[in-house]
Amino acid sequence: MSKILIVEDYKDLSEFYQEFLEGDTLFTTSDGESAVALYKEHKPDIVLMDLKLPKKSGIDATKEIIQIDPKAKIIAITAYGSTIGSKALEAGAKEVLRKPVRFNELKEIIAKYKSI
Amino acid sequence: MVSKNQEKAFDVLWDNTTYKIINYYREGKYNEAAELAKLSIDIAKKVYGTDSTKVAISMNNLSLIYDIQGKFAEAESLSTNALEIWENKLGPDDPDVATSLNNLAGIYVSRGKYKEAEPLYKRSLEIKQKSLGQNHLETATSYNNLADLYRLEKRFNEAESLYRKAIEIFEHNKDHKNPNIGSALNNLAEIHKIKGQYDEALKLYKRAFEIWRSSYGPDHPDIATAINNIAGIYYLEGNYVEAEKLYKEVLKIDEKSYGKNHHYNAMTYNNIALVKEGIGQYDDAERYFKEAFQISQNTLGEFHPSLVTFLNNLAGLYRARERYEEAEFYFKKGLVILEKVFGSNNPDVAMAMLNLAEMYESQGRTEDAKRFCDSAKSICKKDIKGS
Repeated sequence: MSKILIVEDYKDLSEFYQEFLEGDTLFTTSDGESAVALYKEHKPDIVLMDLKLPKKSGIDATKEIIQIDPKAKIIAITAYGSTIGSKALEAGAKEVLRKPVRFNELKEIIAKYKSI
Repeated sequence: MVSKNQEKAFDVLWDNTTYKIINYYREGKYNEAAELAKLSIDIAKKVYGTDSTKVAISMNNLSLIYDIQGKFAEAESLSTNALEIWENKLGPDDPDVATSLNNLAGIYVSRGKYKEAEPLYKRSLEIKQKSLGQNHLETATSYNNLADLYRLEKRFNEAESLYRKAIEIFEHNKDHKNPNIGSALNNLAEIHKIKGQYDEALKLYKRAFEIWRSSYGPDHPDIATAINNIAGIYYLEGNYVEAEKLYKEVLKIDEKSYGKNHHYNAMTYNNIALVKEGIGQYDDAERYFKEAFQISQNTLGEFHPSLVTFLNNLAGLYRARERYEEAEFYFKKGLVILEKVFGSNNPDVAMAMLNLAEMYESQGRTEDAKRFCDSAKSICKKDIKGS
């Protein structure tokens, strides 16, 4: 069982991720600021990070989390193409997934980062 | 009863047939190879007896062809029979038994039966260690195979240590041009990539590239794979100029090998589009995404799940540029394909619907958002977990 932090401001999508990841210990938030706080508090194994978020963007949250823990496994998820995706990689995200995420892809990636 | 002279003639016939099978296999002419392989089994059974090693070799050849053709059940059955013959004829510790174990394990891997494959690969490795020695090239190949299995099972640390052992043996034998060392280096690089150790991954990918280039020549499809892997690291590191240059080289090699209309080219066009989008060259990105989609549609047909990636990427590009009508058009086109392929009660369909709902909501189209959101929610929980 892994600890996974879901950062997604679209509530229905966040619930969908939660259903899919049932069985792991999940922490959820809808903004970048509390994502950083939750990371500090719980040190999750994997972070699913939407990039367009209120209060603090997913890019800035990623940067801050990487400063706290350079080995953080952050998987960025965006509906806005690879311009913002590139920025997420520069900020320290391990991978960028584009919305709509395909379930097998998500499953594969989560399994992969659980194994490292 | 076959006379000595007749047996000699059959030996020549069987040898020639086997030689042709191997050539057809290498040329990718699998149907022709399969027909001949069936014939060679018949010849071997009639001339040498049903339990002869030549029957086992022929069965093994046919099983490898079936494996690549995706006829896994037939492949498994033939390979199992071949193994039985080897074991009965040569005893359990013969190197040929090890090869046979290895082939059967490979078929299990193709079928996703990783747990069944592991003991076979391990036994094959033990036999080779005992019969051929720790530093034999065949032993290195066995380490490599087991490492591949562990990599697929995401047992990355175990895989890494076995790849290193295989590479050490190849190097010990000064077999620097062996394509297998290229594979081991390439796969080890992949593990470093997964771990985010890009510098190490890049070094290893480059070594694999050099080895493959000197053993295969510059235009082999594996060279394209090697260059593609190097480009992927440059992309991840934000070195877009280098990534784009290399993806274009990949395209050149693959177009030569497969022609323009091949799914590999579609993937490469997509990768170039991602680079272009990453550096803000949106018109070019749009053109490359469209090209990727077109090629993929030409090769895979109108309704194939692979098309959805390109459609969604294109839609994402439009969404980021606030060209919502086009974004909607392409996201919906992707959704239609998913529904057609997987049915409407599928988690990918739900995800595509939620994605549209989210976009509608951001545009203030609350009614549309609600409609798609409700449809997505109606896809029941078991379909998500069971996917």
